[in-house]
Amino acid sequence: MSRLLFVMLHPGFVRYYEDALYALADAGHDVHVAFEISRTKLGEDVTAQRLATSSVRITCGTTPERSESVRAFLVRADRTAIRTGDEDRPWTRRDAWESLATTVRLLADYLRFFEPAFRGAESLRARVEKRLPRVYITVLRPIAGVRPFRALVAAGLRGLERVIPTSDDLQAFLRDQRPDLLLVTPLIELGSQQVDYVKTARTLGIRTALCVASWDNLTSKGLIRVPPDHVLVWNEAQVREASDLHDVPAERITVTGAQVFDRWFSMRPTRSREDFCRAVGLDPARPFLLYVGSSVFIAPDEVPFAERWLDSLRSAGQDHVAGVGVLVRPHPANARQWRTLDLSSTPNAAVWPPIGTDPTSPGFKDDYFDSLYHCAAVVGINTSAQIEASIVGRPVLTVRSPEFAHSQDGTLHFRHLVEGDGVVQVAASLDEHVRHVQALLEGDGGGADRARAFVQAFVRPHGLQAPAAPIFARAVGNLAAQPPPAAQPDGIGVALARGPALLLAYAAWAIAEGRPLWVYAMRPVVTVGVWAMAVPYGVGSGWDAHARPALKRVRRGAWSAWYESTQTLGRGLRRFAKRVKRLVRDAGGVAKRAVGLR
Amino acid sequence: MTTGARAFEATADGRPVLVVRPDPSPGQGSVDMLCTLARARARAAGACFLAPAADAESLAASVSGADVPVIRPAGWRKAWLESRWRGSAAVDRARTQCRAAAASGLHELYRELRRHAGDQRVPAALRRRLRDAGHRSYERSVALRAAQAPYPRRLLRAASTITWSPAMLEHARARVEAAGVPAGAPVVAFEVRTRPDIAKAAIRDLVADGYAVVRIGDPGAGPLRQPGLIDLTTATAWSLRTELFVLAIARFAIIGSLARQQLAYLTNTPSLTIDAADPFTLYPIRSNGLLLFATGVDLDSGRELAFDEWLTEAYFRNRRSVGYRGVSTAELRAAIREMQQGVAHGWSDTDAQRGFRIRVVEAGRALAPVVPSVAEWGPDDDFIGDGRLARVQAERAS
Repeated sequence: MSRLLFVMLHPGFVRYYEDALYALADAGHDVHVAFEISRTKLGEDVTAQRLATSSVRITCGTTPERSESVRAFLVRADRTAIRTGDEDRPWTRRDAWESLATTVRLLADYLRFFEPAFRGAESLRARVEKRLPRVYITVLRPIAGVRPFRALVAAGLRGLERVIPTSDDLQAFLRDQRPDLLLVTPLIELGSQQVDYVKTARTLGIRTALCVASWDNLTSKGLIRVPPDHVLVWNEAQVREASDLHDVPAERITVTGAQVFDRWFSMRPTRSREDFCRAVGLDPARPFLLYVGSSVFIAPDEVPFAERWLDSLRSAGQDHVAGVGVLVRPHPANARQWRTLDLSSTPNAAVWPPIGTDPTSPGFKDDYFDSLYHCAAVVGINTSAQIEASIVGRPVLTVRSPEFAHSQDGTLHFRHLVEGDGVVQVAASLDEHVRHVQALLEGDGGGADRARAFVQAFVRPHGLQAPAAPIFARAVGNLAAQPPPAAQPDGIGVALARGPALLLAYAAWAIAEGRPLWVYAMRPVVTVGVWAMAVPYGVGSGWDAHARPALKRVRRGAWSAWYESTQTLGRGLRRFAKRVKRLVRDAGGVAKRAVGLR
Repeated sequence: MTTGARAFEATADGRPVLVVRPDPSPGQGSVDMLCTLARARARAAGACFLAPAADAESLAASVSGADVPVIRPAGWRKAWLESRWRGSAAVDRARTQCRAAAASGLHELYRELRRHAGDQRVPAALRRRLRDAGHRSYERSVALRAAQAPYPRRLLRAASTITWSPAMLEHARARVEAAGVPAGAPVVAFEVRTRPDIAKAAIRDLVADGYAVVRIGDPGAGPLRQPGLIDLTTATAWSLRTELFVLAIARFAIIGSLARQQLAYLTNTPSLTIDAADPFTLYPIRSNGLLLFATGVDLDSGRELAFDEWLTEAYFRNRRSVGYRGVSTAELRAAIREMQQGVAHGWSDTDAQRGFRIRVVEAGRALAPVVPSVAEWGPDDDFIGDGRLARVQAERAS
């Protein structure tokens, strides 16, 4: 069987492929999952640990550390941050290449949002703008709207991407792993460094595949900058997105279905509707609506809208609408804001699960499924929970609201829900939405066929009864079984272009700091000034370190010599005096004897 | 900019005149006009408002000060004042840009010095000196950025007696009556930004008390249907003139934003400002103002913050971890009752209200050097305002 290397950005992506990884292991493949960065926000580390212990064929680890990660690049550009340490680290050539790579990729991502397909997607463009150093925005924004300029710049960026070398560490890592197939996900994060894995694998002759993790990946994030050998997508809509928006040839794309949703087809409620309603604090005698919260990008300030929505229901003229139960389920990654929602004066309404509940805790998913299963309908702004609700067979509704224009009609993936065969019943106002709710509660169950058709087309294109994870595993197995492609080492042209490109890389490294350009002009002056000031300190410390002790030694020696000499002289004089005294005494004795005094 | 546009002095008919072009946004435009009137009154000068673009044009064009003569230049004089204003504004802009450039330069110098201070090859004593110099540079850059005068609370303290042009009054009256406001009825202006059910409860009470409740402000909070509520925020009914007119005739206003609070200063309408998210920005300046805070919630723990915590540096440093829950129905009802009493019988402070004001001033004095937003919105020469925190919250805060 094959050896697979699955490079994920962080352990949070395990949840998209957990079942698929088990299916691969069951099929006899050895899978090594390597994470680029760690993440613990939603207990992802726990998921990764569980994965590593689930099968002997699955191992987990980390990828080689990057000289400068995208996160470090972005932090460096934050002028307001007060840091210590980082700035003292000397630049390396590797840093410069990493900076250039991240810059080139962010720029390519930025330019894509000027394409006609993204008209109205200003917030997506703004999201990239926030990550790019200001100088690029100033230069590019005026011309990016003009197609020929955009095409020219994009071609230049593609050329630069080819020239940027990958690190030796990555080559060593891939050589060490020797995979038959390299899988990467998500690859399309803004400025993603996963491109380097695809490039390195191409150099070494390793087959590559991109696994598209989620429904918005191909439209709301960055570009597939270097197309891998294969792309595994959920459905035909993503096939079109991959080929139209990312220029991936259709023959390289494989449709597997959405493996992340497989469990929703087989799950069953863990308790009765009455028990569930009592547990969450709703009236079991009445139907309830489930309000599913959205992520922070989609709905940064969702509570005021939810309050208005709730009020519009409670103000409805019909008792069965006004008294309908409401269960609010915050998005796990955007739950904090819901602490400000006060339902104490709103009967038959509750937030569940309690905010702060560990999403990896046992029963969290069961609880979620029970919420979906027992509700009368699901309401949300724009979230994958709306897809999950349609799988469970519940009607899904949304309301267009001005504060979410950026994340509803301003994103392409929202259109999957509401346009064409979309499953979500969309209202232009809260009044219209209340009419939709009323119709639903009065038994207008229309739309079940439509929901089934949507699920089949969007989630399980190979048939409602065909789980996607085994299909994904089979597709991956087939790709891994193919002979490896020929290695494509860098050509002579690329090698020659690296010299001048290195200058660009150093410039990119400097610009990424987001500092005014005059700083770089002034830097040599300041440096010379500092070192000039260092001279007296150097002289001072040199004096202290060498001259002063030497002088001390000389002084001490001189004193010692003087002391010794004076002592010696004194001793000599004393000796001489003694001798003279003795001579005088002796002479006196002789004289006395001579004159006969004795 | 919160300080009120810098007026330049000209002479008209032998009298000094302060000339200003109010900010195009109605709220800041109101502050600019009120500050200019106050300065002119203090100097026995006249005032001249050059019409800005956008909505505030109608503001500038329709206002006259009863205690300060308002000059309306025409012909070559107008052109001359316009060009002088442009020159004066350009100098102001240049000054601001210079200050920003100096602050940026000092910040960059700080980073450069720190870079060298981290270089092990540089002698240790010099590194220490570089680090100290860097910190001094950083502090100076922060000080330069924050070096703007605080919100001119003292200039806004005394109401200017403003008269409206008859044409503007007629036009606005006609539109307001067409929208359904009964002529002669006592009016309450209500800017709805709080929870709809709480707003509706308050509207019900006010209507029961015989008020005509007129909704003003931003329609972004969505439609609100409640018997007795007259909605002026719809596209057809709304104009700045009608809103000003409603504020001018209202017994009092219930307000949820700074811009409407500033408009209420222009019309000197007693106002109850609700859902304030810090103790300084919306603190009412005039004695006919009341304030209700939202409830601050620690988003990490869900704990409700005590009012004392709002007066600490930690609160301003960590506002991303704080969410806000709007005022409750009971609080709003109590504050509206206090408002009605104040409008009918005059304003007085309880000990708790006085004590809270003193604490706000003391906290503002302590925080201004370290928190830029407090330096901007906090006490102006130890004066925060003659208004007060509503009793229902002041008792709790004491």
